Amino acid sequence: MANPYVPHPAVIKEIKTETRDTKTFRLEFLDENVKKAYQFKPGQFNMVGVFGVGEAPFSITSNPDEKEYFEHTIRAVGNVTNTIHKLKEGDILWVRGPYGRPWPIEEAKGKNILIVAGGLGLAPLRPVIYYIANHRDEFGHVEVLYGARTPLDMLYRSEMDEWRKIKDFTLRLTVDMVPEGVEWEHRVGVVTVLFEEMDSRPENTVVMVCGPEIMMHFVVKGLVERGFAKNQIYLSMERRMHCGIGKCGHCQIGSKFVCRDGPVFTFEEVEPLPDKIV
Amino acid sequence: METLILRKEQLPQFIEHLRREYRVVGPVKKGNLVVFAEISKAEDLQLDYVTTMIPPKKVLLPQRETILKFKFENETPKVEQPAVDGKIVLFGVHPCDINAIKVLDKVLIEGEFKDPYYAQRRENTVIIGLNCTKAGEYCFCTSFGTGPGAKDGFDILLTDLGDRFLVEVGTDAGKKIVEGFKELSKAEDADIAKRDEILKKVAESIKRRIKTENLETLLLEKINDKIWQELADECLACGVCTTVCPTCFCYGVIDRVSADFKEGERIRYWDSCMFLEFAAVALGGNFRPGRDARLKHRMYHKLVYIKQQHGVFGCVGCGRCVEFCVKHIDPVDAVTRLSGD
Amino acid sequence: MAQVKMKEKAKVAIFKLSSCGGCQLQLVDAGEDFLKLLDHIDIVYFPIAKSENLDGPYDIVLVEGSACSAEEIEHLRKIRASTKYLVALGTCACFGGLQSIRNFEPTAKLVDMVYEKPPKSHPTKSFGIDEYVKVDAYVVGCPVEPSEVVEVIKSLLMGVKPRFPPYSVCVECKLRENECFLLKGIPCMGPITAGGCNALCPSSNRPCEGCRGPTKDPNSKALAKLLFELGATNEDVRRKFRKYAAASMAFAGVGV
Repeated sequence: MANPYVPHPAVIKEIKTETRDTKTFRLEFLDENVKKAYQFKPGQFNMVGVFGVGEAPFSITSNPDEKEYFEHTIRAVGNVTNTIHKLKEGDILWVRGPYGRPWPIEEAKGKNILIVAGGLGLAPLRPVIYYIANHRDEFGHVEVLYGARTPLDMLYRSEMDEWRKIKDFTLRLTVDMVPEGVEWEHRVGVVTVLFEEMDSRPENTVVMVCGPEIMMHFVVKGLVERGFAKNQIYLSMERRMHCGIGKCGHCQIGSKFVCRDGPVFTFEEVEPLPDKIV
Repeated sequence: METLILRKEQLPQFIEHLRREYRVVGPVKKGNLVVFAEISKAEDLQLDYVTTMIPPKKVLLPQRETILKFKFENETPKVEQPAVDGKIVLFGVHPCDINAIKVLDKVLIEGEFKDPYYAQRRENTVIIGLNCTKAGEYCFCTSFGTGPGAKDGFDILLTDLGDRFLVEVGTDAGKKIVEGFKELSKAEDADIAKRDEILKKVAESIKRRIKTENLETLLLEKINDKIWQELADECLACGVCTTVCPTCFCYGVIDRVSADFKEGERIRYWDSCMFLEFAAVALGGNFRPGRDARLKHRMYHKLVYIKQQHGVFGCVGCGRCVEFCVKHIDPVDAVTRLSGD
Repeated sequence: MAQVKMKEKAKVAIFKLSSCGGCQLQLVDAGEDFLKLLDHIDIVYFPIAKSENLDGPYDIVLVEGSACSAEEIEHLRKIRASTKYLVALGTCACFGGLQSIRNFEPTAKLVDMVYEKPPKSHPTKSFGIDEYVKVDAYVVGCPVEPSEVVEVIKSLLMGVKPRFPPYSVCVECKLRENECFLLKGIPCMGPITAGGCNALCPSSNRPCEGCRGPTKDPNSKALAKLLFELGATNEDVRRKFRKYAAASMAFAGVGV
């Protein structure tokens, strides 16, 4: 069996600036065999690293049907991410994966989908939106509620017009506040204000939520109050990871390893766990 | 299982026989402690011991280990996997530690991913266990069925019957070793009866108990009990408990570059959930900032979570965490108080 | 190497405030690693070791010692303004050092005791230098470990924060399979002292003195309680906690 600690080199083909501290990196494996064999499901993550600095887990944020490349939307917050942000197109990143339990795409087939995202939390949900767009008939009504701190902190704004063209797909946006001089024509308020205009209902719906844990806490609360069941709400949890393969112990929440039993969990699974905010 | 007799006078020869093919690591005296170290002859061994401070896991999962090496040639680093050392006999391992290795196997080898370094070392290691003939002040292996006698998990198992050892063969590797050492005689029923008598007496001498029936229910019910803050007020978060625990496997990974920036290593080192930094995330967050949360996580991991994940308790009752904690924080005490006994 | 993309060598300066001077020399003590680093750094200011010393600006400044007078605080502020990265080198710079023992008496009273005539400088209490300026990296120790100074410089050259295993001295002591002083009834500061020294003192049969300052979650109260149980007096406990890192929050209030 291959050594699961050995990463594969991937070249940065394109870097897109999303916000002042977030960039999306488009990567292609150098080795053709690795590229051919690589396949991920929405919600999974890779361990991405720079030798000499370290590795960190990153959700895969691209279209899962795309064979040539994969993408990571990365915010510069620490050693690994700040180093990655200094790299240029043509530089190499070292990648291993995919790991983790994905979003319940199979369970959602034939059902309606409600996606609720906050800030950088839209990143692991973007592959779901791609999948829906490319397999539209397999799902019912799709609604996305997305909130960020300010319009300048929103991800993927340039893609949203394309998303709005998807059949029977509603996109609702809100920001916590609008800075002086910035244009904004949608709602203002935390993401839960969008519940007031949301048309999704508990019946025959799968909910996927991702964002800061405190945001997920309030979103879940609002959903449960509106009759959604705890096992139809799916969350993507995040913890520090050193190995990504269920050995180093850092990502444990109670008896669950986020890298192995997650990062996607139902709220029913997460609720009884200790040491969390959601 | 084949049972044989090794007379005590034969032990030096037996060690020599082992050393032809393996490095032998066994318990030796170090001041007032007993530690696992490489030996060159039988006289070095201190087989009359209760427990070592650092468990034999240090041989299978070294405290500090290089998991990848990289050289910076041109712009793209060249990656190498380090080789793992050669064949070892772990000699004189007590049943608690044998069972602890079984827990480590479940975490590091079983499942979707296999840790190649631990797996290779495990394959290279022969375990010659030694049943206990006396219990220590802190032992509570009987609560988990992990001692004083071992049932499996060994290649060979010895029991000290006085002037001779009962030798039980557990695996083919063990069989190969005893067949190569032709001077062993067959064990009699009386020998086996003597072993059972010794183990029974040792088991009866162990007074410390954790009631394992409904332990998960009890602990999950008491997850917010004030006992955790009481214990946390005593706890120094020094990390000794996890360092001496034979089932602790958590590790951190760090990259180190040479001073000329030409090459480097990805290293893993024993880490501890008792340290503040363990559950820290980017931007200053921490999901177990309180000592009570960390102490609780350690105890629950050993007494509840590993059982939920792998079907066996993560604690083997060796008592090291109690003995070497300067405050003697004790899972037996905690569970006893929580169950209201 | 990919990470260190510099056109010129980084300019490094080493400054000394109130200190014994021992920490600076530890960089030189790093031997071959020090020589290898010289391919990437230019030490332009190092009065203890060089006769030609240049003014800033600098890329990396190591500051040893703590600011113990208004004049040193001013000097420290100027140093901070002259450099991209500032490293607090040693326990004095990180936590105030031995001289922070003075913090428990009014400074004026101590000045009176020490000086016959009022001194030219204006003495103050002794704190870690981050009391006055932003610090980019800390290297604890009295003195620091040569390997840790090298590691910090390497990290700053790569533009990352230095990372070290979060051990207490106890963990390193256990890994060296030493007998525990505390378990033998002898006071030792190991459980709440930051590791990285590889338990040098306990391995040489001396209890840990806490010279590297506190771990990140030091339960000082609980250790003090244990020391009292071992027969230490209030005075003993105060002395143990105040010797090196008295200015740190974790140690200041103990044994009062």
